[in-house]
This record gives sequence, structure tokens and C-alpha cells, in this order.
Amino acid sequence: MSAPAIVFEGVRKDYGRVRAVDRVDLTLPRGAFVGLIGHNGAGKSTCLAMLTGLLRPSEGRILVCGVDVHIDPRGALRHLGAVPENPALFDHLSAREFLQFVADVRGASGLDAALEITGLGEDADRLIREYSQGMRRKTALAAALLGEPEVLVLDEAINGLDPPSAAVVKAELRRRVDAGATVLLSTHVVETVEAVADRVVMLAHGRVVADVDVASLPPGGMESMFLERMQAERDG
Amino acid sequence: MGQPYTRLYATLRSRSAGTTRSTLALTLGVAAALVPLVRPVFMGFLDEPEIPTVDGLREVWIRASAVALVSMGLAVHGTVLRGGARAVLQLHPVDPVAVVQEEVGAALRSQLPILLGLCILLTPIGLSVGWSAWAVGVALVLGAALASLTTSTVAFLGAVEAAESPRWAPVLDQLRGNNPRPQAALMYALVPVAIVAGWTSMQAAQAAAELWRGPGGPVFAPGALAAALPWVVAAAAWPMVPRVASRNWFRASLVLADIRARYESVIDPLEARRVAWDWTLGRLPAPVAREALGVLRYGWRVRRSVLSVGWLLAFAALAMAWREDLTAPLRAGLIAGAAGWVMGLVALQSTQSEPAFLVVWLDRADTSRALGAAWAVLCWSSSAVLVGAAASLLRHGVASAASTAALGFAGVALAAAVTAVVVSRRGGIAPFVAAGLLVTAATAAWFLGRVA
Repeated sequence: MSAPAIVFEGVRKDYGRVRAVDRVDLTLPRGAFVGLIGHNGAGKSTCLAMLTGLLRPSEGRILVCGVDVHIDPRGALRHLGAVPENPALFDHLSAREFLQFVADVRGASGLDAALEITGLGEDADRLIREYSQGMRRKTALAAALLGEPEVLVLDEAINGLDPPSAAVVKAELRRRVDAGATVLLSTHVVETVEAVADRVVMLAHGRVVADVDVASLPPGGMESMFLERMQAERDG
Repeated sequence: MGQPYTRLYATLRSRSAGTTRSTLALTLGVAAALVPLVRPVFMGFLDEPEIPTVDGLREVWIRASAVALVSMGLAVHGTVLRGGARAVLQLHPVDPVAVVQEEVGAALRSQLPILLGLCILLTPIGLSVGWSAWAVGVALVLGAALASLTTSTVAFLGAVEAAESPRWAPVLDQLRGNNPRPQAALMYALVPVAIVAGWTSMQAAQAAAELWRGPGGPVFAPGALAAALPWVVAAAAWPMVPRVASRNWFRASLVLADIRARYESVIDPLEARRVAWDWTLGRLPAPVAREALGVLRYGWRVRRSVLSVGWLLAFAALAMAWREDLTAPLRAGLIAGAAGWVMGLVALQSTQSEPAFLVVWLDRADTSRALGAAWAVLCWSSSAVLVGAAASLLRHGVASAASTAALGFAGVALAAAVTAVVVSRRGGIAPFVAAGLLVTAATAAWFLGRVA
């Protein structure tokens, strides 16, 4: 039996006296489309930074397809494609050159398909430094999609896209999930999660306060649940 | 697997080739322009027959090697450890060994203008002593640079491991000051480089210079083989690079993120408020201590780079006091005193940065403000005076140390007094200014008399 796609085991992250993430236990099976929502400062980006090996938890461990991210980062990254909130790119390369490098590193093909999905085709040979923020995000997304990784971690990766590109990307993500990949999509836009995810995990003040199937919620029920849980958190 | 990395870095290099060429041309032009200035300052032995060639060559080669060594070490830090490529590559399953090897190549290329500039600066040796001496100097400089390149790579990537090691924690805690513990490991990674590559470069310069011990041209001696030491060190350290790269390149991202997070968050509110020299305020009157604390915090947090100039002056005072020249203690005192004037500027900037409405509303006592600023200037500058005086003590004896300290503190006192006058704006502390001037004048008179 294959290991779960993502496992958070008692993960805590402190910045000095500030507790950004507080004892998060979470298991995401393969073939899941999970939305991670929460208010600003809830700990979403910290969770994703730890998941992608950019931050070390103060306590606990994180596994990607059974590989401890912080013991074998390269091994974990082989299973993982990630788009951080502010992706860093080589400004002096074109998107095609950058994606070719990523494809070579991952031993992957499908560069043209990735360009097509993200709508970068016509601009693929321009230098990235000439790109808008949206195009930079598309480039990072295309890089994450290369090689059909088993786990995709996307931090606010869809919200910055234009509507046609967003629709194509959502369809592609759904296709990947149906094929057995796991997508963890972090956003503070509830509607996005409601539209694409099967399961929603809600963070507040670094803790998981809700973990529910989207199908179990009434139409438009996610936002009211979000507000209720937030209120409950505030009331202690 | 090497190919994509080589292609990536070659493409990045080709896109910035214009900038690289401009930097190279500018550096070489500056080096050529500096040659007439370098000769009388650093190569006096070429024009003064009483200085043996062997000593002159050794000193010049050691200095040139030191520049190459430090410059390369900093380049490795800025490229291999904190290079811009890390932010992009750390999200992909890259081969860390291939990445580090390319980064080491990039660090070496980035230093080519400086290395070539040093070769130009050594040309007076070629013209006066002979081109064989120039070629040996170039080989020594390149050896020092390569030794620094490989040992720095090993040291910085090895420091990543030390940064998280409980075994090193007690040592790093002693060294870190206000910095996070992992930062101390990275900051002091150049120390073993200086010890290994620096010591071998010095030995190499000494051995190479011995070839010119005789009256004529170079005479070969077996000991001269020691001149190849830096090259041997560079070659010996290179095989260690793949091991530390594969163990620690990804880990470095975590350590760097941890350092950033610790700097950005308040680890301990009490510790975060602490600044250099605030321990001196305990016995001052409360209003003065409050004002002095404001200036000390401003300087430490906003103008730290200017405060570092004080340390540079301390080193300059030390270097000056260490000379055999009889006027060295006097000059060291003057250099140390200059630190007071630099620090005075920081204190003035501190008061200038206060919002005008706050000054009006709080209506604080001018005397307290002035004394607080003066105290901060004295604290910041005293290191320079004490270091200079200590060097004079060791080199020239008690009387000379007293001279350095007296002149240094007089300069600092005068600077503090002038700062206080400007801060007070009303001249309400004229007696202090008078005292400062009096002390300075008296000390200078005493000194001039002693020197005469």
C-alpha cells in the first residue's frame, strides 16, 4: 500500500514567542483535491513553506509520499511540484529556457503542454524579467506541473490568473487529481476552494479548526462555516 | 546530470556578459590608474636601497594575497550560500553537487576583475625587480584566491551543519552577540579559512621571497617549493566540496530561513531592546540615561554601518600604534580621536530624526539631551581609543600608551562636547564644552612638548 500523499505529524512552528502553527496533524490521501483556507496570518503560508522544505518545523515532521521533507529534501521534491506565494525565477531566462531546465532536472517531458495549459505559449521566448506578476505566476505554475508530480502544492496560485487561464488550470488540476495526484491549494478566497476542492481544511491562529468534505456543505455554506469558526475562535 | 546545470549557468552568464565586461574594464582601468599611487605607499623598497628586496617582496605579496583571499571568501558567501539562484532552485529536485560546482565557478569568475587588477598593481615589481618576480607574485595571488575559493566553500557549507549542531551551540552562543546562533556559525566560517588559507599564503610568500635573498636575480632553493602551498590547499579542499554540498546545500535554505525569521521576529522582548553599551547607563541620572539610551538604540539599529566605521578606526589605530615609528602612538591617538567625530555624526542624526512635534510636546531638558548624546559618543568611540592604547602599550610601553589614550580621549571628548552643544541648541552646557576644549588643548600641548 502506498504512503499517503501528505502527512503533518504534530507540526508546530514558533517564530520566537509567536506560534505560527500549533500542533497540526493532517493526512491527505492520494487523489485528493484539498483547499487550505484561513484568514491572513492563520499559518497557511508557513504550513506550505514547511511542506516544501523552505522552513523547518519547531516540532513534528512532514512526509511527502512517505519521505521526510526535512531529512531528504531532494527525495521529497521529486514527488512534489510547488508554487509559492511569491515565486522566485531566473529573470534573465525566458520561460521556455527555465522550463526546459526544470524538465531536464526532473527528467520530464511535456514542456509545450505546460506552456499551453498556463497560456504562456506566445510569450514563452521573452525574458522573464519582462513579465507581469501574473505571467511570472504562470511560469512558476508551469514549472510545478512539469513531470506530473504526485503532489502539487499551490499557494494562492490561481487567484492571480486571468479568468480563461484560471479555468484551464482548474480543469488540468482536476484531471491530475482524477489520475491519482494530490493537490493542496492554499487561498483566502473561499469561492475558489468551494468551486474546485473536494475537501477543505480551515486554519485559524495556526490550528486546524475545520476539516470537512465540500460535498457535505450546502451551496454557499463554506463561507458561513468559515465565519462561524472564526467567531468561535475569537470567543475562545 | 551535469549538462542542464552547465547550460543554465552558461545562459545566465551570457545574458549578463555586458555588465561583466563593463565591470572588468572599470576595475582594470582603476587598477592601472592606481599603479603610480601604489608604488610609493606599498612598494617603498623599490626606491629605498636600505630595505632588502626579500622583505619588500614578501610584504607586498602577503598583502596582495590577503586581498585576494578575503575577496574570494566573501564572493563564495554571496554566491554559494546566499546566491540568488538558491531561491529558484530550492523548490526543485536539483543535484546539489552540480549546483555548488557551478556556483563555485561563478564565484571565481566574479572575482576575475579583482585578480586581474591585483596583477596590474604588481607591475612595478616586474618593471623594477624583474618579470619573474611579477610572475611569482601573480602565482601567489592566484594560489591564495583558489585556496580561499575551495576552503570557503567547504567552510560555509560546513558551517550550515555547525549552525544546527548542539555540540557547537555553547561556542556559538559565546560568539553570537545579538545575532541568532545560526548566523554566528556563518559569520565566523571565514575564520578557519583565514587560518588555513591565510597561513599557507603567508608561508608561500615568505618562501617565494627567499629566492630574491641574494644580490642578483632569483636563486632557486628547495624551500621555495613551499610557495606552492596555497595551490596544494586548494586542491586538497576541492574533493571535500561534493560531500558538504550533498549534505548541506538544501539544509542551508532552512538555516537561512531560520536566521531571517529570527531577525524578523522578537525572540525575547527584553533581549530585542538590548543594544551595545546600554549596560553603562545604570549609574547615570535617569533623565540623562533615558536620552543616552535613545541615541544608543538609534545608532545600533539605524546607523550600525556608521558605528562599524568606529571599529575600522580602532583597527587603523592598532595598526598605526604597532609601527616602530616613534610618532606612532601620537598618530594612533589622533586616529582614535577621529572615531569620536564619526560617532558624533550619528548622535546628531539621532536628534535630527526626532519628529518636531515630539520635541515640542515633550519639552525635555536640553542638558539631559546633550549629556545623553555626549555619553553615547564616548561609549561608541572608546573602543578605538582603548584598542590603540593597548597596541601602544604592547609595542612602545606605558608612557606611549598613556599618550595614545590621552590624545584619543581628548579628541573624543572634544567631539562629544561639540555634539552636546549642537544637540542642546541653546548652548546651556557651555561649561562642558569649555572643559572639553581645555582638556584637548592641554593634552595636545603636553603631547607636543613630549614629542619635541
